[in-house]
Formats: sequence, C-alpha cells, structure tokens
Amino acid sequence: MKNMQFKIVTSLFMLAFLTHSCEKTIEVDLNESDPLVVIEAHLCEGVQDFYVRVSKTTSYFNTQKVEPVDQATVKLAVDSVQWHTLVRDSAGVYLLPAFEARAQSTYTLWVEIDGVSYRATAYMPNSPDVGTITYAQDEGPRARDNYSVFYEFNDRAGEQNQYRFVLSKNHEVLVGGDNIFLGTDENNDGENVKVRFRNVAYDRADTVTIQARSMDENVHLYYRTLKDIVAGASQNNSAPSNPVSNFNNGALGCFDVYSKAETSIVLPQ
Amino acid sequence: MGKLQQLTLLGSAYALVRWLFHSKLFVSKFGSTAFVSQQTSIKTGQSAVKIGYTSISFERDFRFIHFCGVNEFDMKTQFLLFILCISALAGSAQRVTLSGTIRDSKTGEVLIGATVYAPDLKTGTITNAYGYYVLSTDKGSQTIQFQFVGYLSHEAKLDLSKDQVLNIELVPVDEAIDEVVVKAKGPDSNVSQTEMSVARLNPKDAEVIPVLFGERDVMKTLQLMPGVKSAGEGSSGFYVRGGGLDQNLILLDEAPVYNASHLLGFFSVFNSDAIKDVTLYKGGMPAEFGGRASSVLDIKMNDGNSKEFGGKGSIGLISSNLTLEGPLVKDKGSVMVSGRRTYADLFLKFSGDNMLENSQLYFYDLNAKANYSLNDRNRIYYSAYMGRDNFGYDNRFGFDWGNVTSTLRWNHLFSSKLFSNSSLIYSLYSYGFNFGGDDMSFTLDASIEDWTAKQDFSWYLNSNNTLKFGGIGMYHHFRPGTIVNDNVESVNLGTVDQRYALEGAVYVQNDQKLSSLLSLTYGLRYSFFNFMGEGNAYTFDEEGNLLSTKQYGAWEQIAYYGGLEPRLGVKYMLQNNNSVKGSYNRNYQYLHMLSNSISSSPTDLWVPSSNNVKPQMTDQFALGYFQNFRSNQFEVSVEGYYKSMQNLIDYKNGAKLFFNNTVESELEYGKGWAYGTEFMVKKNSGSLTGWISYTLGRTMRQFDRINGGDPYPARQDRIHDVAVVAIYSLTDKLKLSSNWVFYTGDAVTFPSGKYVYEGMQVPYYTERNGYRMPNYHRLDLGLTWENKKTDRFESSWNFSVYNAYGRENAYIIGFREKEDSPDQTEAYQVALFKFIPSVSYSFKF
Repeated sequence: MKNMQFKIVTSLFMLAFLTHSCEKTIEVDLNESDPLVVIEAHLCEGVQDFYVRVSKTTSYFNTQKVEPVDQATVKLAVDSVQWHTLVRDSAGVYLLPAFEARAQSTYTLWVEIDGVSYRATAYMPNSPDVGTITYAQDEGPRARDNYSVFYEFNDRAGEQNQYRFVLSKNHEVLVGGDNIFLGTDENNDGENVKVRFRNVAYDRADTVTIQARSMDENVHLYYRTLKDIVAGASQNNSAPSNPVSNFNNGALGCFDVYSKAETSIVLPQ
Repeated sequence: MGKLQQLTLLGSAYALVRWLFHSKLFVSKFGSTAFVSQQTSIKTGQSAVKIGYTSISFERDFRFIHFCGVNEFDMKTQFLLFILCISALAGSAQRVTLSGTIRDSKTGEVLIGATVYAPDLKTGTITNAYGYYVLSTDKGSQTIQFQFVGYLSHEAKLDLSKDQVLNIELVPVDEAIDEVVVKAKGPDSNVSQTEMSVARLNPKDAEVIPVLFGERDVMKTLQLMPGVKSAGEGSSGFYVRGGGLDQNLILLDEAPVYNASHLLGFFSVFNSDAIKDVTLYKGGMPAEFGGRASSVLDIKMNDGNSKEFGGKGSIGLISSNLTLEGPLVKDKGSVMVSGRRTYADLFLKFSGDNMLENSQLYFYDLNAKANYSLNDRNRIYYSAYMGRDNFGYDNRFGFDWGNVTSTLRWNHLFSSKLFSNSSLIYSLYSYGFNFGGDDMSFTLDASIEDWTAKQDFSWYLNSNNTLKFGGIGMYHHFRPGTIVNDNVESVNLGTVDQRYALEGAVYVQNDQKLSSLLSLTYGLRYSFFNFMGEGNAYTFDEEGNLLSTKQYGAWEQIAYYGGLEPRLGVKYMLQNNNSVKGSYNRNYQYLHMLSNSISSSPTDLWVPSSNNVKPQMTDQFALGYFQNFRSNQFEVSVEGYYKSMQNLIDYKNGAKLFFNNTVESELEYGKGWAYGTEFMVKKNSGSLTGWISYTLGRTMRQFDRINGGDPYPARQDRIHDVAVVAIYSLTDKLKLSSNWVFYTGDAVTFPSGKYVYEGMQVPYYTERNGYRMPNYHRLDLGLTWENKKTDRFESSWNFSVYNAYGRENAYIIGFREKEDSPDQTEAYQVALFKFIPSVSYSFKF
C-alpha cells in the first residue's frame, strides 16, 4: 500500500511540478558475480504435466535471457514419502507427466546440480471458494471506455489464508510485477472480501478471468518480496534485496504450490 | 517511575562524580586538569581541596563545590565514593555581578549569543537563548564591550561598586560599515567558547544564498556546513556525521517537530521570516539536550518587534509569505504572526484537465509568538506553529499531513545569578489519507502527540563557573492509524494498537574556566523511557514468530529503559586566536523511524522502544583545532570525529511496516560507526564573504542478517563532501551569490546479475550498498538587487538559478526490461532539477 500511495503522490508531484525532470538510459558498470542456481516450479491442484525450470543467473546486461542447466537431478516427494523423478524435457526443463496434486498435502522438490542439492517444501492448502467478478465504469473524460474490476469471495473462517490473484484479459494472463496481486485474511478472517485491482484497465467487451490462488506463507512471502523488486515502485526502495526463496542453500526462485478457483465474465459492449 | 523519583539532583551529581572516577578516560584528563589548576592556585596562593588520593586545587573564587572524599574502602579491592555537595554560594567580597538583557535597538528582539567582554580582565560571556547575560567582574572602574555580528559594538565605562543590572540595545549596521564591527577586538566565540561541533545560522545571513525555486530554507543552508549532508536532491532532510535521518532532534521553540518537511521533503517547515536563530549541535551536545542519537537542531522563532508595528514578506514563484509584528505594550511585550502558502495548485485550475482542476497541491505554515515582561524578573512567552500539506487528485486520492506545536514559557530571575526557564510544550504530528472512488473508499488517520514539561536553571556561580541543571518529562501518544472503509463494511484493513510512553531526563552541567587558557564543560544527563499500556505487548522467537501476547492496563509499565549520558568538553587556548578543543557525548534515542524509501515520506513510521526494541545509543568523540586570522575576518577550523552507534534498526526483507501490530517482529538490529574530518574556512567580512567546507568521512553499518553479517556502507556514506559559498557585494544595492556543492555518490544496491521467473527478468543482488551513484555536483547562482530605501519601506528583488550548468544529477538509477526488446535489460537514470530559474520580491515596512 505504501508503494502505491507513494507512487501516486510522486507521479502527481512530478506531473504538476517537475516539468524539468528528465529520464535517460545510461551505462552502468556492474560487477560480475558467480552465477547462482534459479529454480522455478509451479504445482497446482489437479492432474497436470509438472514442469521444473532450472537455470543460472547471467550478467545483468547479457542479451541471452536464460542460461539453462541440463545436468540436474530433479525429484518430487508427496508428504516426504512417495518420490517421483522428473526427466529432462528440453533445455533446462524437467517434466513429470500427468501428475495429480492433491490439496492438504506437503510437497518437497529436490534438485541436485554438480553435487549440491537444493530443497524446498510447500504445503498445498484447500482451494478457495469461487467468487464473483463485478465491475464499474471508470470516471473522467478519458476513462469512459475503461472498466475497473472487483473480485468478491468468502474467506474461509478459522484458518490463515494467503491469496494471489492472477488476472487475464481475453484469455491472456497479465504478467509483470505490477500484475502480482496479493492478499491475506489477517484482518478479515471468514469475511466476505471485495478486492479491487488498481491500475488494471479493461475495455468494453473484454473477457475478464480471475484466478484466486491459495498458498502457504512462504510462497506468499516469495511473491511479496518478488513484487517489491519487479514492480515499478521498486526504484524508491532504499535497499532492494533478493526475494525470500523457499529453497535452501541459496538457490533463487520458488517452488510455487497452490490450489485455485477460477471465474470469468465478459464486460458489456 | 520509582526510579525517576529516586533520582534527585544530588543523585545525578553523585552519579556524575562516580562516573568521572570510574572512567579511565576521564581520570587521565582529570589528572592533567588537576595539574594545571594546581599551578594556578599556587600563583594565587589559595589552598587546595583534597579528594581521596587525588589532590585538586581550584582558582580563587571556586567556592561552590566541595568534593567530600569519603574513603570507606581499601584501595586495592574497592573504589572511592564521592558525593558532590553544592554548598551555599558565597561570592568574593571583591567581585560584583553585571547582568542584563541585550536587544536589537530597532526591534527590541533579544540577541542570542551576543558577547559581553571586559578587556582589562580578559573575561567575557555570551547571552543565553533569552538574551540574558551575567558577567562577574572586579569592583572598580571597568570598560565593558557588548558585541554582536551585524551590530555596532557598544562600549560602556562603568564604576562598579555593587551588583548591577545593565540592559543594552545594540544598533544594527548596514553591510557597508561592516568594517567597524570587525575592527572591534574581542573574544571570538568560535575559538574561545568550549563548545565545538556547532553550526550556527542567522536566517538573515542566509537570505542571499541561492536556493531551489527561490524558497529560502535554513535547513538547506545548514547542508552547506561541514558534517551535514543533504538527504538527496532538493531535500530539506539531512544526515549529521553519518547518523540517520531520524537521529536529528528538531526543536522549534523547544517543541519537537517529527516531520520537518513539506512536499515530500523538498521544502522544510521553517519559514525563514519567522525564525531568529538556528543552532545545530553535531556533537558535544550540552546536557540539556537529548533524545536523539545524532544531533540537535534548535530553532528559535522571532519574538516580534516591541518598538513599533512593522512587517515583511516576499512574493515568489512557489509561495508567498507575510510577517506582521508589533508591540503589545511598548518595550514590554510584542507579538509576531507569520504565514506562508504555496500556490502551485492555482495553476492546476488553468490546466484544462478536469482531473487536474479537481486536484489540490499546497502547503501552508503559520507561526505566531507573543511575549510580555511582567517586570524585570519575569517574562512570559507563547509561541505556536501550525503547518499542513495537502494533496488531492481528482477526488480519488487525498493525502495530508502536518505539525502543530505550542510552547508556553516563563523566564524568571530568582536573582541576577539564577535564571530559570519553565516550559509547557505541546506537539502533534498527524497525517491522513483517503483513496478510492464511489464504490470503495478508505480513510486513514494517524498521529504522534507529545505533552512536555521542562524546567531549566542557569546558575551563574561566578566568573569561572556556570551551572546548568534541570529536567524534562514527556508523555507520548502514538496512533499508528486506523484504516476505515467508508462504505463497504466487509473490508476492514485493520486498526493498529495505540502506544503510550513517558520519556524524561534530569541533567546537570557545569561550564568551568580553570584558567585563562583551559576551560571545561562537564555534565551528566540521566534519561529514561517508560513504555506503558494501555495495550498489548508481544514476544517473538528468533525467527519473528509470535510467541505470546500480554495485555496491559493504562499506565502499566511494559518496559523501562534508562541510562546515563555523560557529556564532556575541553578547550585549551594555544594563543589569543587559536585553540584546541575536545568533546565526548553519549546519547540515547528511544523513538525510531522506520522507512524504506529513499525520500522522506509523511508516512514514515515512528515506533517507540519496547520490550522488543531497545533504545539506540551513540558515543561520539571529537577533537578540533580552531583559529581566526586578521582580526577574526577569517575563521578556520578542523574537526575529527568518531561515532559508534548501537541498536540501530533495519527491517527484514518483505517486512510489512504498515497496519501491522507485530511490526517489531519485522525488525533487525545492528550497529554502526562513522568517522571523519571536517574542514571549514570562513570569511566573515569585506565585499566578498562566504565559506568553504569539506568533509572526508565514512559511515558503516553491520547487521547479523544483512549482507551476510559483513559491514556495509550506509546509503549516506559520501566520502567527499564539498560546499563553496561566496557572496560578493558589487555595490551597496547589488549582491551576487553562488554556491557549489560536490559529493561522492550515495552507496546503493545495484543488481549483479539477472534471471527469469514467470517470464519476468528479475535482478539479482549480491552485496548491500556495494555500488555508487554518480558523483553529485551543482552550481547555483543568485543576484539580489535592493531598491531605494525610504524611512518606511525597503524592498529587493532576488533572481536565482538552481543547477546553473544543468548537471543531470541522478536522483534514481533503475533497471528494467527494454521496452522495444523485452528480452534485454537496461539501466536508466532520472534527474530532477536542471537549470531552474526563479525570482522573488521581498519587502519590509
């Protein structure tokens, strides 16, 4: 909230006041550091092909986006007992086909690279109740065609819930740091909650899809700290640091385990 | 509370002596002191006082203190116990006391820090914060000089046979006859006073220095002094000797100001026209001040003209201000009212954009002060300040914050030698915001409210000792905020616990002249903080998980901290015009500000010390050399300092600082240290005046869980910091001014690599603050043109250019995916102010 409020004030201030401010691209001499292992894995409730991407960090201005790691051993355990081994599917991508993930289970992902192992454990909570999407036409002369959307749902009482909302526009997922929407029921346990998505504008006749994901605290913390450095307001942060990963041994990335509820509407013409 | 009650003045004096003799540091210094004074006493033929195993003698009229040595213990196993007894004062029959108040002859304003000097005896003093002085001198015919910068010096030939009151009015001089003032010889406070590490500013002196948008700002002028660093481009916030932004105690007529900035820090809340005196203590703080770890900025408002009605004001691009003042009863009392308001928002109305037309963007300040002399011994002051910022954007978003302070003071003279000031002080800092449209809207209210009672005594014992003692008690009430959804009941973002605390201190300090060469200031402050209910106290495990919650009733103690803060200053005159000085001070800080953005934000969160948060503590040592040249035309000083800081606070990665009752679990604790050397050359008179200041310094931090436990530079670790200020009088009417600043870029965290997650390119960070922003430099130019004066009216135009050579100083350096090819990443910088001209018109009647 602070970032958002800061952003609004800053932009207002800049707009009205600082017509002199200027932005330009610059050269910065950055240190090379030893590459670190990055693991990205998303495990959703239900039957699916489970993919794990393993890569290494590259230098910041490198034009090559990803440096895949192909010599990894990747295993998945359910409640620390049943171990499944993933096979290499493509460069840096490992696959466990048609895996059925169930809620109320704990999953452990184990990755070994060059004799060093990285492990993350995450709990899959029950899926949230399906909510409803509502919308409102934006105000202002230039905003007549825009809609703000809201998601209303009932939080489960008596349990601590962490949510992430993933929005799509015409079946295309909105990506980027500004589109990571997070929430908890810390102050509204068991209540009917209405979530507003700021700075996301839909046009007439757009199809709006909202996926509410429920996740454990550590996964939620990862997304919160990821958002801090990839969202636009990060430039005001005095001391940015890496997102808090649920992997041990200094691997970056996250073992993202969640259950979901999804709903769609089509905005009026 | 019981602890406080036990602590009487005698107790603290006792603690002082005990500390002095426990401290190795002081024993060695004390030893040499004793040696010097013993020599003096041999000359004057006075007897020595024996204290345990140490023999110390004093100058002839050192009568007030007896050290009563109580040697109860065997020396090998136990130590000495001393009680400091303050006995009745018995002045020498040969001495008389001259006392009074020094004022401006035109306005009746009392002059702070004016010099009173007896050249025959080579003894002198300066006026206190209320313009009051006491000089002990010999009986008989004496010449006394009264001097103050910018005023004609006054010489009085007096035949002193008994104690006498002499109130003096000094006549202000025009710059053209500055020379007259300078030629008057006298003691020079920067060399001869024991205090060091002090930056003093008369807002009048700063009038011609060019500033951003032409808004004169004492805080920005202070940033041009050595050891004081700006919080960033255009910012009125400042760092002192490597300390943090929240480690500066900012006092406006004794009332603490929690957020001294307007418009996100680009302007300070202090309207120059309403201010008389600005003093920044960077180190060696007098014992009467405490509560922040780094510095004290003591700002005094104008009292108002007690001779005649008048006014002054200015009209500028950003704001205008007007000050009116006049006598309540001629020469007995006066009143001053000053206001300032910005009007940038008025332009929004012409923007033609509906959203902007419905927007607000302004701040205002109101200062008022009144004082009245009941009689020669009693004077009452009341001063108040109110200021607020207001942002609003198309009725969708509103944000406002501001301070209210109020001070009621009573100056009382028990005798010409015992001066008392009693104050009742109120301070409120509050902010609120609301956002949302018709469907959902939220409002938030938060505040910090302080009630303070303060009592200070100055006891001018004799020409060699001035004893200051007193105490302060504060009641804090923190309301971190309630956020309310205005129309949807279901969304409750939460209420954060209110917090209550009592903070207080008692102190005693003596300014002692041991010989004509050696002076000492030694004092002790005992400060305490009582964190109390009503409210919940939480305990956490190492990982920050909540272990227990305990409820406390109103006024019930949750946590108590207290500590002794020794203060020490030594001055040794090498020759008439040069001296060396040393100082040591310890400061505790019980309130802490949490902030995670690079610019000051009104919502920066203040948290009190509690069962989880320990008070911050700093120890600072400083050593300096001071010399004046050519009859004080030039002042030169070099100061070195070392500061160690304990219990500093940072927050964990991903910390939720807002609307979080258990915010204390999100904090990390560490230490820091700063060291440096400050150089200053100042030219006080002539057609060219100004100064050059240079600071070479480092400031480091170390936290167990940040940067792998390795030390790292603080953001404000600017190794080199230079300021050059020059003011040149072309003619009587025309003045050119310029300042140039240069500093090493801030220590910042840049990515050392990148990776991809969910298709986003994510920067990867290695070490905290391991990179540097580009070096910062900037030249500002100004021209002040005075119009023809009449008896009733004077006016001037001021033209200035901020960043005259258009240097694009990086305000932000960011990293992002390239817009045209998202696979690639780039670095960009944002520069704020480049070549900003401004004009303002000032008048006085």
